[in-house]
Amino acid sequence: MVKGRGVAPGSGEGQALISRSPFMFAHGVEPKTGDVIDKRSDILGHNIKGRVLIFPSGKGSTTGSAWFLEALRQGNGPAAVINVETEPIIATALVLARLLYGITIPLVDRLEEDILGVVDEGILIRVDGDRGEVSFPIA
Amino acid sequence: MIVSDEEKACLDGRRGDANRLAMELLVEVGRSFGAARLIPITSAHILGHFGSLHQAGIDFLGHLVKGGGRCAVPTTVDPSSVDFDRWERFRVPADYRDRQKKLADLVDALGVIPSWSCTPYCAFNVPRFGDNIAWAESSAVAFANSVIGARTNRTPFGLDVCAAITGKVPEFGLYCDENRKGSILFEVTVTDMSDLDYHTVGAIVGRRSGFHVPVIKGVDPHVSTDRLRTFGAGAASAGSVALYHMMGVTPEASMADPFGGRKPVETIAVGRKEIEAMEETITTAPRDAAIDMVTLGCPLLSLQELKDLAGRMQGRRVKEKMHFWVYMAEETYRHGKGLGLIQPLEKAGVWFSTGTCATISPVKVWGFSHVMTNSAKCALVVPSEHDVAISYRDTDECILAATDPV
Repeated sequence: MVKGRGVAPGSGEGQALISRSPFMFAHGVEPKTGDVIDKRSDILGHNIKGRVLIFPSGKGSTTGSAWFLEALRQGNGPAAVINVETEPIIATALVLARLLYGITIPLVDRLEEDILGVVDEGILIRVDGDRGEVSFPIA
Repeated sequence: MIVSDEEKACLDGRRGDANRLAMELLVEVGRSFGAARLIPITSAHILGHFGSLHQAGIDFLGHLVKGGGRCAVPTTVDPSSVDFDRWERFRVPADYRDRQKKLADLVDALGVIPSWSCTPYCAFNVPRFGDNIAWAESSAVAFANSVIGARTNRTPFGLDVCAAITGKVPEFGLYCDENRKGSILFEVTVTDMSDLDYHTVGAIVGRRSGFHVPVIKGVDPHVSTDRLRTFGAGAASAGSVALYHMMGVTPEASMADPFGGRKPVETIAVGRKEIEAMEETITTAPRDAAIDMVTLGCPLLSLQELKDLAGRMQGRRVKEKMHFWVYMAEETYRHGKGLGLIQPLEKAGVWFSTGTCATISPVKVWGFSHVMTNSAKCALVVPSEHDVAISYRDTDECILAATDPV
């Protein structure tokens, strides 16, 4: 169990999907499927649906929160998000999802350990956005 | 976070549902970024194009309108995904047009100024030095922060309209003095920079700056406003630059040490070699590959750029089967007509489009495979949206590709 900062509340669990560079939702994730379509992404072609999406921070156009929200609206969002340091596009999208659709996706950042260094692709992780805690591997 | 009595009234629902939701979003996001309080803004600039907002955007704006939401400060809107006057000519699917019309109706209902332009600082939304504003559209943010010295973050969709209807924004990021100091230095060594060079150097600064605020040295102090616009658009789209300090040019660079007493983490030389290398990176199409469409106007074309284009187009006509699409704000088109600049260009086969642009409209329906543009932002964004190869060339080469002598 690793402690960090709970940014968005709720809890979620799933298999880790890890991107090592800042992640872009604008033209980056196809809302109809959850497929990563950003040609520059190191997880191009992967699908985020139900995964615990781990990436350093968000990046890209100010439209990114709309793209992320649309993916969530269509039921193609991740189970949880873990950032090294979150930024407004990601944080805003998750608040919108909760307030508009009642979709609660936890977001945790500032973990005490280097999350990108200790988590393996595909392992089961549980994220608690209320306590700011991340647990893996889940038995 | 300190919440004022009026803000508490919003949170308690005493100012209607829209204000309650908006204030909740502002406070929650603010808390996540260490904001001690909310601050009043003098203007907002929001996103309103269906291509990015999708149904979720319609749902959110609809929810706010239903809850009594109305702009508390002058608010402009970014380009639409649809040219409402010319959508049939540009083959926009009717149902796509209907979805954008729905968004436009909601934007109207909120009391937004229907500017449909990415250059709000040119007209209808002109901030002053030190003004706190809440703007979306990264190229407009770069201009307002850097060239004017107003203050805004890259405001994401959702936060933009919540700020617009409450007139408040959480005080974090670039609203704070300490976050506006430069930490990386670019030394430009080329003299005689062309229009294209300003886009390219912008893209270099964007790509190499990461999350740092760049300081740029070596640019001509008499640089035109148009070139600063395109520089900022390049930096904002190739990277995350929201604020830059240009020595001898921008106000915060001139008023105090733009580094705030610290040393830059890195100093990067930008010479002709670096410019050529970036141009190569931006172009994805092989040289001499057949071109389907040429587009100018990203950011939207200014009157001065229109005048320049008219001059270069003298004695030329758009090739048969070629598409030469030029984007501008509606008022630019109107004044361009008054100046007699539009008509000869339309006669020569140029298609103008107002209130929209190639990066956010459904150009995909045309099935182009290769597009040429003189804009770094357009060249970087269009391929991801429309799955085309791109050639990034200066205005003269664009005209040569699109036209023949008469």
